[in-house]
Amino acid sequence: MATEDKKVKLVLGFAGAREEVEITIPDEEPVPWDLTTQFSVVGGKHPRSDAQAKVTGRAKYTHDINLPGMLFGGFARSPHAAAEIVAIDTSAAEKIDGVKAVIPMQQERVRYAGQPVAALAATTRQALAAGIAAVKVEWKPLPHAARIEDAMREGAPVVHKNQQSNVTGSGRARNDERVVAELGSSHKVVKATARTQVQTHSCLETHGTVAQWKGDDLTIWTSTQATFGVRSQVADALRIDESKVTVLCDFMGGGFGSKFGAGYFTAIAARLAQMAGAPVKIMFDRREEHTDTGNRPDSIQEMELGVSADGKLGPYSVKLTGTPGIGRGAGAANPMIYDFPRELRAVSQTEVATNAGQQAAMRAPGHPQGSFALETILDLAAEAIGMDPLEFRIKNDSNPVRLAQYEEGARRIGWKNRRKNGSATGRLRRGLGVASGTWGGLGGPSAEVDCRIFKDGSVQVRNGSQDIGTGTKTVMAVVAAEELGLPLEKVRPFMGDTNDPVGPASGGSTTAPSIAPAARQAAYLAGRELKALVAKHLGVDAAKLLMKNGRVSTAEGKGLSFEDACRLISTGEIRARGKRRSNFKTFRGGVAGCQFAEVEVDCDYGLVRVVRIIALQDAGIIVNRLQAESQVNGGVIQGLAYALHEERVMDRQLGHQMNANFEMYKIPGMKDMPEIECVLYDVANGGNNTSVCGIGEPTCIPTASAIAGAIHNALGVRVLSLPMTPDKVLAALATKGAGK
Amino acid sequence: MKNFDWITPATAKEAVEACTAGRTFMGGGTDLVTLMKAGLVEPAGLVSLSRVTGLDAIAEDGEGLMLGARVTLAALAENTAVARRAPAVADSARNTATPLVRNRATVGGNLCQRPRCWYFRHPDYKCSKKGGDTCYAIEGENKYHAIFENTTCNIVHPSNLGPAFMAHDAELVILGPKGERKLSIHEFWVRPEEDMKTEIALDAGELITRVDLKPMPARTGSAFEEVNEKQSFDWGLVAAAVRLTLDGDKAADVRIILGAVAPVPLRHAEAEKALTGRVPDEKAALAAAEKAVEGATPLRDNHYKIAMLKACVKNAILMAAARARKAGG
Repeated sequence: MATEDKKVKLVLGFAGAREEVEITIPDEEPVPWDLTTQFSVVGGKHPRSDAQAKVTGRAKYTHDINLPGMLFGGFARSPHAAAEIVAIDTSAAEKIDGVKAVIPMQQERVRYAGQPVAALAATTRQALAAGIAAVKVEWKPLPHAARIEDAMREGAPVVHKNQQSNVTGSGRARNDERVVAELGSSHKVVKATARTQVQTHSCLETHGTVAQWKGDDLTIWTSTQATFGVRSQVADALRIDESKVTVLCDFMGGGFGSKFGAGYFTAIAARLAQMAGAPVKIMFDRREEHTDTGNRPDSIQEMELGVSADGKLGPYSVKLTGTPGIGRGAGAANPMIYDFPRELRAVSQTEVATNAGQQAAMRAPGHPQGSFALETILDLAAEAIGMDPLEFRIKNDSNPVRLAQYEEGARRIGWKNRRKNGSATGRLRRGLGVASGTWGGLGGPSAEVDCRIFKDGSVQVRNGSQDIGTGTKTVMAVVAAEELGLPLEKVRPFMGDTNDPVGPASGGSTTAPSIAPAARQAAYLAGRELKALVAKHLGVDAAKLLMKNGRVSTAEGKGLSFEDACRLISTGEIRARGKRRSNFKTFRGGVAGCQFAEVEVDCDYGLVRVVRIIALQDAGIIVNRLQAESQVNGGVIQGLAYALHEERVMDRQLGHQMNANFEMYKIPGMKDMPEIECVLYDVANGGNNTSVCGIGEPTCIPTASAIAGAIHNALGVRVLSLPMTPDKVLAALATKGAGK
Repeated sequence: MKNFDWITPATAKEAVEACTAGRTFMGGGTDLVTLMKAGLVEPAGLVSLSRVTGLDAIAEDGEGLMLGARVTLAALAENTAVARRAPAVADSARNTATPLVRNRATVGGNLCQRPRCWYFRHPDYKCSKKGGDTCYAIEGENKYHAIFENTTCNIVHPSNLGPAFMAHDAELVILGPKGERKLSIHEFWVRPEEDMKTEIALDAGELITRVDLKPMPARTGSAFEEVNEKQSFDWGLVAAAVRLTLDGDKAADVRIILGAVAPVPLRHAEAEKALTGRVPDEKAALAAAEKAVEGATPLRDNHYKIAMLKACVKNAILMAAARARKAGG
């Protein structure tokens, strides 16, 4: 079929700033939605398609998969933070009643407490525990450094073999000298060192896999952010054809970045299943989840910032240090967002290896930690020149969306009533703070979606990647329903089976903006086929037919109901494949957000209560307002937990995590929740045919920083370290002599 | 977790008879099950109290309040007689954990629970409480540990009913293989220097069946105050239970008990003395609170507990005094 490109004019932007652009799109692409589009389903408040299944427990997570004859798999793990394995003997474990397979994981040494040394599968959990206990390892314990402070010390035990030191990176930046000189001639210079903690992903559904062989074919149920990634990684690890592997993930209980790959346990589950001739299930327990599935690196951020008398950002020096555990990569996004003069930034980065589980990407990697330090130095700078911190930000931020958000947020939180820092008195002191976030989340190839229209008028949209709880399934259905002019309940979405069309790994908030355009195109192409049947049947021009309100008809009303139209299908079903193409021209390169916080500090106890968060966020054109608000709420809650509660505590003596549970690793509950006001900005961002952007990550970025700013405002003193627990707040108050 | 017998006797007497060597009683199980999962206890059998009759009643008469050992914290928190006759106990029950836990956890279990010290709870640390020769908290991660009486072992006793019961001079009714005995709550706690392996003075096979609280004199008030890092489900950083009677406008018969700061709940005679005979206002409360924190021996990371405890004692005194003023008589 010959296709011609189309030129289309779009109105992009948002109420505060419209922009006309002309783009060229292929004939098989629908005209992208923009500010002029009238929606009937998109933008509504729709409960997620699987809401009932989830609240009734019908939804089956990997945790819920129990197959006949299934074995329980698990790991013998190191009790040492660093040790050589002199010898490992699994013969006693193999003799335990019920133990069906044992795989020693050949290693010369372990580098963190909890590192796996052998995998086992057994008929019951008790037999598995007995088997694990019977694995005999002769250890030669080595000195270790489980905390960043210990690993940075001179003469510290070196974590990685063949390295001189745990510290990598020079700590020097390219334009250090120039920045130092410019700092010297700045109107005011502020200095601060901010620290952030290691945060674990703390997925409610722990990591795990069920593996089942049928002949040469392998089926994997796994809690993952990347069904297709798991398929190729497992095939590769087992040296089998990818065509023999099916990966299933119908429902998924949280990943936050830690389930981006197959994990060592998935291939091991498959190998144990092969050895034992029975399906094997490995689900991590809470301790394993905390210690061996990744974490957000901590950070020490030493900053120096020069500002002009009129409040413009000047030279900025920042030295970043963080630990990725035994892994790699511990950067923080600092600076970002604000208009720092590009040539006057000196950013250096240092990584410190520690004897601890390796880091993994975590919800907006680098950003929450970068934000906490950056917004701290901004608040201190504003204070130093006697400027309101919001005014200071407005002066140094050129993003039109965020500038609108600042104004709206200030109105909602009552910023004009904000008192001077530290002017509150008495036991309970209130304060206001503000901070910003930025993110990309535009998505891109490869993502494909099948749209199937059946003769009875029912519709499916299918994609083989995963809905990690963010509601991507429902997003697909909303987009297809809009395109086909159907009510949402007529479209059934399916995800989580690699026998369906390819889709992305869920990272960078790109799943919805990658899949939604493919879903729309699939529905568009399937609808076009249906229109052709109707056109032929009624003798009208197919180009004149619209799909709206459950009908396929001309603007004048000549046409059929959708169901009658479907009866014309003679081939069993219409099936069309939509493919995500590269991004078109966009209004902005990413999404913008900011948050305002109100806190009340109990100065008797140093306790911070977050009263209110106003979260303002753009995510392109909002597909489903209810889910988008849920995403914002979730981001704010995780941000609040990061601000006040969560922290991995490593013991300096034996190198274990002391709080690898949900008792002492503190996750806030209902009584700790503030009022969260979510203000969504519809921005026709362009870029793809739906203007959808991701929203999973950006909303957890500014929360802790806004809370820190509010505490600063309430007390007149800055807490420079996360989490801002009572001990730190009391210490900060004591430095000010304002304890009473 | 090892396999175990499951026994569900119908009476307290049968329960005691069933609880032979290697077996242990189970009330709500909120602590016991976590201990078993961590491998810290491996009982050969659990004697469930779930079907034992008469253990779940709250009774009230001229002699005071009688709380069955299996009364849940939820029931305790909601009971109007408890709120009226032992306000510190009601405060304490209300503040514990989550609704989920309060619906399971029991009065007896709250007194018998083991410490939450993360070295004690971790399977790879053989601390002195587990037969080892060191307290890891001394050099280790000690933000949540003791600031008093902490030379040998640095646990803080986790019971929050304990201090409140002490403020009300509770008497425990204990049934054992040798019959029934009564024990003052003040005699119930065991310091690590006396016996490292336990925190309470129950002999093997003994079961708390009831906690009796004497009536409060007229013009008496009590209060329990606890500080938590988070408000949904958290352990106390510091706690204080206070009871006082007003003699004219002056405090008399004062009890000040400190929680979450020592291996056992601490009744503080010096602080009580500082308040006795004074009008319990902000100034007097603060003076008593300052006495209460004197001589603290904090570790590297828990100095903050001193200022926090001081404020906590002060606030508990002021609340108890306010209640005493409102009380009849």
